[in-house]
Amino acid sequence: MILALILLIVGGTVAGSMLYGRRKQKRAQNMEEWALGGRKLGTLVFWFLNAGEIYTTFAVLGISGFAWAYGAPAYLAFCSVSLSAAIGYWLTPLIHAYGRRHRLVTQADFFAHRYNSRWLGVCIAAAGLIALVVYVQIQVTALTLVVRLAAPGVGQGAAALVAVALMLMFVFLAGLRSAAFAAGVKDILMLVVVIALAWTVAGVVGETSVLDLFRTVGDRFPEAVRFPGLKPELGLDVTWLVTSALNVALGTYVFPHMFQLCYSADSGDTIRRNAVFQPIYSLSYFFIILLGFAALLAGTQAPGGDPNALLLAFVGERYPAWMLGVLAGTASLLALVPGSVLLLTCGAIFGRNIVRPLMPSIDDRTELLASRLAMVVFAAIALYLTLGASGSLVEIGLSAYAAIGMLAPGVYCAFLMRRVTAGAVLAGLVTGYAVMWVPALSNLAAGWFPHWEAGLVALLANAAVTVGLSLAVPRKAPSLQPA
Amino acid sequence: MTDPDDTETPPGLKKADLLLLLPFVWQLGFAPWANDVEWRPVGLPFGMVWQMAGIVFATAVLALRFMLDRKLEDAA
Repeated sequence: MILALILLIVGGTVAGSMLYGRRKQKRAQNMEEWALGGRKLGTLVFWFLNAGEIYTTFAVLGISGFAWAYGAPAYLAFCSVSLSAAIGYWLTPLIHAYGRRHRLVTQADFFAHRYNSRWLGVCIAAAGLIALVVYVQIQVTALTLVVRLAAPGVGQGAAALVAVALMLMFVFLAGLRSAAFAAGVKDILMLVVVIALAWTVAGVVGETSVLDLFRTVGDRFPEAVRFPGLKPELGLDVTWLVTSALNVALGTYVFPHMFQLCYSADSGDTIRRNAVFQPIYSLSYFFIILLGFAALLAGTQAPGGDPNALLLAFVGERYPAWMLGVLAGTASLLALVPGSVLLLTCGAIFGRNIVRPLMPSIDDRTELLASRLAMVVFAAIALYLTLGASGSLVEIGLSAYAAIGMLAPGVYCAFLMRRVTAGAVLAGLVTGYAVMWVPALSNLAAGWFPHWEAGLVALLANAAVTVGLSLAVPRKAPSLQPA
Repeated sequence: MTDPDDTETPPGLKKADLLLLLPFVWQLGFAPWANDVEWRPVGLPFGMVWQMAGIVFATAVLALRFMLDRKLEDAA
């Protein structure tokens, strides 16, 4: 029954997407139409596309598990959208206007154009791909959980392989044009599931109301409802909250797919209005944290202690089988839809900003083939990362933000400073990666900034080098760009 | 793509952009204080209520800023 429901939900959505995609197929004639919806998305569609970013596996499976395992650190979810919107209110109309003025399609186009350097565009494309692959890894991790739930005998590796195969199939069957349809289905289903679960959860764990549930958690687990939470030894204290929230806020619109989304709005006003309404949607994280705390009261044990599997385990234990089936089916969509959009973004960036500049003589068909092959390779890398990782979805999410944060100084400087060179942006990028990934440096950084989100420390080092070099290099200095 | 325009001046920041810092002050600046408050309004942990109120506050600030922008545009 669980398997049947999962197949029904996923299969129905794919079929619906394909029908919807076929009807819309005639309209997209070029790259601009295809990738940016012809630059005329109105407030409502733009809001929906943005809001789809909120009900993700990171949020639903990740945050509920985080609340169960660590307690208060899950409040990070409440900061993520509102603070991103505060920065986005200033940043996104600027990206929109610049992209429209110069007819840009991808984020790497922006860097290549603003810093007048084709090789910087190639480097930025590669750096964006690193972060996107980590983001795909989140979706693969979540989908692996659902596969293991539907087929209990399958091992971790085989389940992850099935998950990646499903994701690629979804990409090739549904494609980007129909992703909007699948995204709509997933958002509505998720909203219904979350409300149904939250409505009944108090009774399920023997409390009279939701407020009673929180009161009992506060009484029985007083350390859970405040920082540093249930595992103080991990250092998830208020310093961690502040630095992680800052890093998420700075990075949200720097992700290549979000950056690209800014180009697609019909006006700066649409984007600003969206920034006003976006945070309200994130109040619904209340229900997700509620479910995590309910599992804590119920004494649910996640299989293998894996917090990502907590919500599925809790619902499997306390609710009828059909509810688990609907949740698992919806969770598959939560992973498949963003996963396919991310993979398609990867493919497009690889074709347009890496293959094309390096081999300008290539024809369109070969470029498309390269993009498609690249998607398979990126999915395989995400699979490899999934097999090696054991962290919670929130931790993987934060590492994706850390990776994309490396592009942030180049984006912010583009709108704040006049004298920034391509060389300075690249030097900052390399410094940031070194601080993050060279063990000697990252240990040093962790010692100097205890409990800080490592990504923010790397971002600050990156920004210091970018700004410092730009100020130090005399005006109109010859850039490092090859002739 | 068009060629970059060397005379293009980065837009930079306006005084009104200071408003956008207020949500950070509420949700991050006051987070250490909120974490130490014992009071649990209607049974909910204060730290969590503070963050949720911060979302409403951020919306209000952004709405105010949106209206200011509209007024400036109309005046221009």
